[in-house]
Amino acid sequence: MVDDPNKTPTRQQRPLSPHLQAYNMFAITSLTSILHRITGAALVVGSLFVVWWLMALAHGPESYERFRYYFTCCFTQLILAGFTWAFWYHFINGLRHLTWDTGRALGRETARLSGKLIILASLIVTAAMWLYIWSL
Amino acid sequence: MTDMQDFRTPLARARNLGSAKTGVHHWLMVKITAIALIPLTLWFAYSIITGVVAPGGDFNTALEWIKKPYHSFPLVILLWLNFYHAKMGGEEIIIDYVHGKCLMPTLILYKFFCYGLAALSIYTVLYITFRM
Repeated sequence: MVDDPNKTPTRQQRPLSPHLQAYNMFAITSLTSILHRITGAALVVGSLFVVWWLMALAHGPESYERFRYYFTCCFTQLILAGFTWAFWYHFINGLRHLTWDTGRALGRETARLSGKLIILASLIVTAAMWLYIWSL
Repeated sequence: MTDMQDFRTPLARARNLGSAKTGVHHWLMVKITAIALIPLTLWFAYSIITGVVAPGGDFNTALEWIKKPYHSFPLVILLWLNFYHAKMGGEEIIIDYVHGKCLMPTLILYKFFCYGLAALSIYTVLYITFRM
């Protein structure tokens, strides 16, 4: 069937299951699921803030003061608040995933309810945390 | 009965088709690191806010905070588990969305990235604790 060894059928495209384009993004179940992945990816980037802090600390007082200047400015604080929300969302939804792994709360309506609670809870905790920090 | 260890045809085996065999372990490690990270991340968030941000967040406060062994030690564990969990999770994302010949280099680079940052951050904590 194949005469030319350079054109093997092994590199044919295998079908990829449609995901983001096929599923209703406004269903709470798929929304929370993709958000869990997105926040997870965001947290990899967010980890860099912790590394930045540690490096600044290790380089001494002058370097740390420069770090503080950039770290406490409005723009960075808003970005940090965003990453903190990503953290709390991923954390609380992670608890939901672990609960599912024990076999509990797998019902459809329960999953929808817990999904809404997660989004609400993550926003509340993030807001509480940052309002406290900004009040200091 | 013949030895039925591998149901793949020789060609399929040569093309690396079939299960990677370590999928369950991968999944389990994600869950286990997640469980371990629950108390560690909560502790870190609370401790950093009350111990560094609240007293003023200057260099000396931060240094004093991090040099206490009951802060630097959990911090090292947290950093290690964080990047390990991040590596696992990121690998799943990469495997889902990167295909063909880009997959292996991307996975390898991502592994370098995660372990490199883990090593760097842990080394920095140890440096601060013991040499500052």
